[in-house]
Amino acid sequence: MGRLFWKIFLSFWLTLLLIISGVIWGTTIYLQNSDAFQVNDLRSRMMNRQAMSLAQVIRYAGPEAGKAILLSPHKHHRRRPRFFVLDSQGHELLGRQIDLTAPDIKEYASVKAPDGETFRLVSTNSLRPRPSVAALFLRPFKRSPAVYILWLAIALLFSAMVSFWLTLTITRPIKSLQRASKQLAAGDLETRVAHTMDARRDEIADLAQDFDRMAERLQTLLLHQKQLLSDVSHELRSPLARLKVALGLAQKRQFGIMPEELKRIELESNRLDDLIGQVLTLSRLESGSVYRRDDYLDVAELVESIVQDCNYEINGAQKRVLLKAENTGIIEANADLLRRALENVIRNAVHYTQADTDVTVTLETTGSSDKSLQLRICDHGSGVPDLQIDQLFEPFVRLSSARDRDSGGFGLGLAIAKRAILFHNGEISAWNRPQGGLCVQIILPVQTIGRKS
Amino acid sequence: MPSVLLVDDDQEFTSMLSDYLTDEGFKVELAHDGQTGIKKALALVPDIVVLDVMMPVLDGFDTLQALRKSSHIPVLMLTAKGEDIDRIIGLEMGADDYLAKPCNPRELVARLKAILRRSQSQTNSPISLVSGDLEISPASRQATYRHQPLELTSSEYNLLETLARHAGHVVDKETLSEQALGKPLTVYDRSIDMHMSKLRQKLGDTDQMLIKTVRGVGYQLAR
Repeated sequence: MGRLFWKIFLSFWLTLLLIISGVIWGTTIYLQNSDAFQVNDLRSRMMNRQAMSLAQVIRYAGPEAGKAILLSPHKHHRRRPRFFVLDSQGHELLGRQIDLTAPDIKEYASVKAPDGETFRLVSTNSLRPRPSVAALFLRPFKRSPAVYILWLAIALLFSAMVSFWLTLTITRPIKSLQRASKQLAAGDLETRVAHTMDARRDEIADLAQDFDRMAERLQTLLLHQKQLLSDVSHELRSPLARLKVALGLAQKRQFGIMPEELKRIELESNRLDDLIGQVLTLSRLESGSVYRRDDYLDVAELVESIVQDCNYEINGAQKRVLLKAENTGIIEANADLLRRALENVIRNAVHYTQADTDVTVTLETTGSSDKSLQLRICDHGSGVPDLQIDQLFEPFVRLSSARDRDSGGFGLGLAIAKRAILFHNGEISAWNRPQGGLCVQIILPVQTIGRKS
Repeated sequence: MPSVLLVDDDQEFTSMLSDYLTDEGFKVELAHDGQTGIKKALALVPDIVVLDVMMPVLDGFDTLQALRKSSHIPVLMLTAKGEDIDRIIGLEMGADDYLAKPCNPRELVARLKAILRRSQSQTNSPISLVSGDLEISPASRQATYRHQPLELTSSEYNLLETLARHAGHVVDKETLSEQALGKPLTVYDRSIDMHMSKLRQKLGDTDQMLIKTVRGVGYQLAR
């Protein structure tokens, strides 16, 4: 869940909570006011009217008639207000007991009967209103704090769920767009995103469509670029083949003694040959490869032989390659590609490490169930600018004038190394050491090979 | 004077290479497409054919396949640089050697001479090599053991054939690597041992009676 998710979610939730509590608060007040007023008003008018009619009966027909009315069954019996009629001595007409000190006692009328006796009309429930709609509505909240909290929790949960769903519908497509952009940036040009939008028809779906169009265009352009590079290199091989034969002929005509200029031409044509070879290797590795993989290599021995070669060549340059290798066993690989990859990384380290320093090469086995080899090559050079470390394995990338100008390479060695490692289902990564210098780590999966003879 | 037939569609290249090879004491014939190449190879019967892989219409592999139906003239293939798979296919189809183009003409001459030396020493190459219960026919690249055909990979077959050619003698790993796998032996390469172990499994040779390991040197096929 990203920051955007929480932002939208919290604002949705907060808004929803505010609206809910506002609506409840408003309606409660409204209902309480209008309800209480209307119902009480209606009720007290009815009470008054009934009291008046009872009073009239007693005044003109005497207490016996009043008694009859009090006793008469009423179709709205339950709702009929209970009136008590008291004579001047305080005796109730029907002999019912009544506590005149009760708080809800209200006297409605005082009336003189035809025999001169004065009667008082009293009711006990005049002030108790029937529970109003608002009261009914609020009743659950009035029981106890626990119930109140329960209801609050339900409201919170409900609003949270709604906000969560709303937020997801917005952030999920954004998230998948983001993921696609990352994949595309990481080099997966096949990435498309519109199909994840399902039946969406809105601005985000449009954005996804546009993204796909962009990715497609990018893919075509890059494909063309690579194809062009590969085609040009292929085409260059014919003139180069002729150049080499012509050079051989010229050399013959000089009876084997080559002038400096011819030697120079030979050197440069070899370099050109090398460059073309590297471009073609790279493009072949990138285009899903045609390389076989049926050599069996002892990786520890391979690394050792490369380190020996390096140490032999730098003899006297005050540099050293130190090797710490475990016996790692045998892997099935393309010997040529793997040797070139490892050799390139190690030679690079030797080239960039400062005089009087060491390059350390460590090889060990890691993991228990799926075993892999871990080769780490660290130099004591100036490292690579942090911003450019990701481009280290890209073809034709010259990182800095300091690091690359005098290397004599084409900026293809590490690019080929990376693709060769990927071809072997491995990983390659690089980082600057805090104490200076660059580390390159290569991880190769080990297939267990049945027997070792 | 050894004769060589150059088959390549690049006419400027072949004419210059022809000059170079003539200088080196070869008698050179030229062909600029596969069809002509086959015709000339069958008609003139040169000592060796240099065949470019990348040709229009009939490419080097097709030409080689057609040629091998009726001829065992040694063939050197000029493959695209670094096309690993070309080399493998070429060797499996019966090419005698390969060289990546663009190549150094000096190296080409050295290779041609090496192939010629080899083919002269094996002029009457046997139809089949028999060693005990093992029978190998190089023309069809088939091997049978106790009259049962063996299902071998290309590398395994090559190793077996190389051993059979020197049956009774120890063949060192350098030779095996060069002749059977087409690459120089390196200290870290265990391919020969691995292929040999699989070969033994297929032969049912668990007690190493058929193929003996000579520790530190190489292998020996019992005669």
